[in-house]
Amino acid sequence: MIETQIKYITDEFVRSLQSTPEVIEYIDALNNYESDMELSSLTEKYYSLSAEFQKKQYDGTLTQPEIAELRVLASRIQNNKVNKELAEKQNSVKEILRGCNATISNEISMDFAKLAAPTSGCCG
Amino acid sequence: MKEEQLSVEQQTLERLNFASAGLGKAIINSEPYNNFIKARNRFRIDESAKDASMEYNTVLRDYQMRANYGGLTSDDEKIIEEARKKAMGNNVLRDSHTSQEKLIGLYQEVNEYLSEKLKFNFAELAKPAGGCCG
Repeated sequence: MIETQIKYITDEFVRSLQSTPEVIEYIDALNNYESDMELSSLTEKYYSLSAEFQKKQYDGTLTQPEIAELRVLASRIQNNKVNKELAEKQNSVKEILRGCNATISNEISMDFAKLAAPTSGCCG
Repeated sequence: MKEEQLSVEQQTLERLNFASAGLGKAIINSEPYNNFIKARNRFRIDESAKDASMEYNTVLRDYQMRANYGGLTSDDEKIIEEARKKAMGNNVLRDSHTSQEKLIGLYQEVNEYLSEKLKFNFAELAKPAGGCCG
């Protein structure tokens, strides 16, 4: 349960972020990404084929045309306009957010984001 | 026009900087933060707590090395559990660990709260660049 004072200050912080152009543009790009039917169908197909081909690779039955098919799919996803736009906006927003984290971390004398981020698989 | 635009950008950044510093200050005024600082300061001057910590860390490093190479046995599980119990028998060390866990819990809660409002994970994008464990 977060203390009321922290909640209040966090709300202020969120409002400041929400009025920052980089954050607005990133959220727009994120919404476009999530609602792009072509992209979601390509991504779904890519993951399903990857899983299928991984099994084939273990069995030693994976063919060159199948590898090529997967590469074409990956390249279509990478070159998708909406996907590229999201990557670009994410880079800009990261810069802003890292600046905020540096200021918070400077106050508390430890890295806020590093400690607050959900633990990733590779580091446990 | 360009100067005006720059000034708007500067104002936005200053506002953001002020809000970020405010959040940091609110954290240092919180109970979990103060409890952690007190526990950490007690730990730093307590020789028996430092010895207990060092002893546990030696066992832990050995355990992690075996885990990385897939050589863990049920004996290792018992050894690490006993070492943990022994270390936590030291009140100063236990308080330091508990208060640290609670503080990290607060950071995670704050992050979840603000990330839900932002519709993306703040800490995930804000953490410093580097390797996955960096």
